[in-house]
Amino acid sequence: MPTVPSLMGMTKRVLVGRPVRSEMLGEATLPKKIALPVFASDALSSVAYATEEILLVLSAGGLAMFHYTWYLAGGVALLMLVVVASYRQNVHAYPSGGGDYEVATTNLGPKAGLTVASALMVDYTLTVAVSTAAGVANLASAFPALNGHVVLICVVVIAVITLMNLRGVRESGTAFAIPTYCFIAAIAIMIIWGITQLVTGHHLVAESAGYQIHSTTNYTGLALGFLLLRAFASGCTALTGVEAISNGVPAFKPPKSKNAATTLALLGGIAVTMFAGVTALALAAHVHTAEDTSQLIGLPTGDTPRTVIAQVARAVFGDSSPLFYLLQFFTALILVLAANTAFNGFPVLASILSRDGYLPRQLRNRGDRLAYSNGILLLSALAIVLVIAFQASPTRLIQLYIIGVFVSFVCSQSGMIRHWNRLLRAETDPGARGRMKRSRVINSVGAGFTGIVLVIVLATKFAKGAWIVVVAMPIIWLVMRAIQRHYQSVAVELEPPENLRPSRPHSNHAIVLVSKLHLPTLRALGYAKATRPDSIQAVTVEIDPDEVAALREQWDAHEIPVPLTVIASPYREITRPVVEFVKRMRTENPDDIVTVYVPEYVLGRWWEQILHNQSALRLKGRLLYQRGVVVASVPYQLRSAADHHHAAAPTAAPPAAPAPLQETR
Amino acid sequence: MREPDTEARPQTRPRTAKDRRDRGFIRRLIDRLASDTEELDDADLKAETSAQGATPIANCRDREAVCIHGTLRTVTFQPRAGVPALQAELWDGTGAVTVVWLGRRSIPGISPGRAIKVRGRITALGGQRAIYNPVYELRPGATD
Repeated sequence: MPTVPSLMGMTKRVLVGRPVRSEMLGEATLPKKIALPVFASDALSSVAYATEEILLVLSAGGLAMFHYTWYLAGGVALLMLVVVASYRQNVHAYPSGGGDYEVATTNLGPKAGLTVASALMVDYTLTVAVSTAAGVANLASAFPALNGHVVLICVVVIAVITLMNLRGVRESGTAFAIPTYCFIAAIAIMIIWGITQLVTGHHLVAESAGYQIHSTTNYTGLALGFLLLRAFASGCTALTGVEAISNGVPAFKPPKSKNAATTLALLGGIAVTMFAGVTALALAAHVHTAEDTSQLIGLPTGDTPRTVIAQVARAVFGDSSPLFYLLQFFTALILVLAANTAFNGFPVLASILSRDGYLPRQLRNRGDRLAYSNGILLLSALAIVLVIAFQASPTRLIQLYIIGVFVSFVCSQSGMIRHWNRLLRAETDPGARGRMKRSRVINSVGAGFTGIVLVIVLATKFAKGAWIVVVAMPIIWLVMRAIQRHYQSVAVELEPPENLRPSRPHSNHAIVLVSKLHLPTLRALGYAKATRPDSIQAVTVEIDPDEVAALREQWDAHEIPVPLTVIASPYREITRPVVEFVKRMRTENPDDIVTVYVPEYVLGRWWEQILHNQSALRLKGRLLYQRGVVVASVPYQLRSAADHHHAAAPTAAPPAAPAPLQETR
Repeated sequence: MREPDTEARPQTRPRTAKDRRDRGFIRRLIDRLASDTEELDDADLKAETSAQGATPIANCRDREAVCIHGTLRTVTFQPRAGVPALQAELWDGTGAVTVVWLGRRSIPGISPGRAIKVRGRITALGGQRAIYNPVYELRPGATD
């Protein structure tokens, strides 16, 4: 049926593109060189802010604290390697793409799985918010004029990413590869250039090297330890996104597991190198920054300090070198791409959860372009809310971040320990046992490390905003349980019992609703008679006695062979008297079916709908709740509706056709 | 819906007499507000039935000559082609009875919502009470 596209439809076509056939699904698999940028942009992008977050926290203790950065960065890098090694085991053991959720559900039970799921959902949302906010902050470092509009820019960026994902992300895999590789290249050039300058005796001087940090508190003992732990926890943001690959194994070219594991290793290597390099340069160039800009002595008042990576780049390349702008551009771009990783992960997770009945079914639907449109829209809405609520401040958002990721790390790694224990019980081959034992050791180390870090992160960030996540996760968990219970109870109720004898209603009583004797009514009467009911009557509600009298006259004039029942309506209602009438018919014969035929004329334009009160619609809604009552809509398409929807089918519904009473027999 | 009568069971409510009276009044008020117009109408109809000395439909027995007062809930007009008969459903707040006038296609005044008093012999018609060709008296409705 060719349809005339509406304005809405045309807008959607321009924005989202032509629908894709279902067969196209599953054709796109990614080679390693494309998969790395698609899945790794999240993990790599945190290089752009991980160093900065460490410095920001340390700044509370004054410049003297900055020499601890080395140890903290080392800790983060070590943790990164441990997590990557652990996830390589996951990828081999669970190549189906269920990721941490699947691992936890299989090995620790559905409750643990749900915990992972709620943690990941929170974190995916935060990934979008944090990455976009950080990306825009970097853009604003290159072009300080943007500083006043960061929230707006963030929202626009999220909207654009949403749109790209609605168009279908797989085909844009190659488009992701270029900026990611450019970012890696730019950072690599910066590190090499910087180290060359240092080796050849030049001094790197950041613009903030001369700033002093005004520190009110003197950190010693426990307070010092806590500050260092907090800095470490902030640095751990570098670890987000590692789990993305384990969720995306099915997207790899075969051998899937092996390729995914190799990509993970590459990712770990590159991320650690970049993180270490940027941190080293930041320290060498004496980048000074602080959480509260008023603590920075020397910063011109009213200025927002540049991001650390921007300061390093300016120190290495020179103040207005094109390479500086290029690096800032790619940094912003990869942060946006990192947000995109969440758009890969969240909808898939949501669809898996909805498959298992924990989320509304709608999240399982693939849209026109085979993307999980509803999941994408949900994620985008949540992220926009977060960005607006937190004024697009990366530092504030980061306080909520990574708790979810570490919850899922811990659950999945402990799940993996159980997985190996289970397999070891059944395995007898000593070679295989050896490999499993080695894997178990790796996963145990991973579980231990991530567990400790989770405690650190929770303890140090709780008061700074992490409590929001700690509250949100159980709420999501409970909501998902409630949804699952609902689906379960509906399924149980709908399940036919084993000894069921299919029964037929004894008889069928037809009621035709009549307001006036016009073509739709005649069509409904004809149709009702054609179904050969056991009894038939037309029913009208008396609002105006004169109208009823006129109707009866027409009834007799047309010689309609159906009794006409007039219902009294002392309060001028239509719906309630009819519903009561139908209910009374039902109580007389509980085994019977009452079919209510509702003649309706269909209007083509929305403004026409306003002009007609929708009493038929309301009535249908009320009658749905009556047992043993079937409501049959008998539509009559007006010319406007026919023009609107059947432009190419002029034979449909000729409006001047004679009364169809005889026709339908 | 029906709250237990507070006056009838004083021992289960260890409160002062005044307190009880206040509760009773508030209960009654809430009952009055909470019941829908239909229940209120039914109560009015029942009151009218006893005022007219008529029998509540619920108390009518089969094959008994009765006098019933109520309103016509529905009126069914037969098509011209069929047997002439006017059928109406009379409701008095306690039950419904089908009133049938054989040989008539319509009767002036017999219309939905009309208050009416009928005398006749009640019979069972397909599990439903019916009165054939009753003596009727149109009563002034609320608006008349």
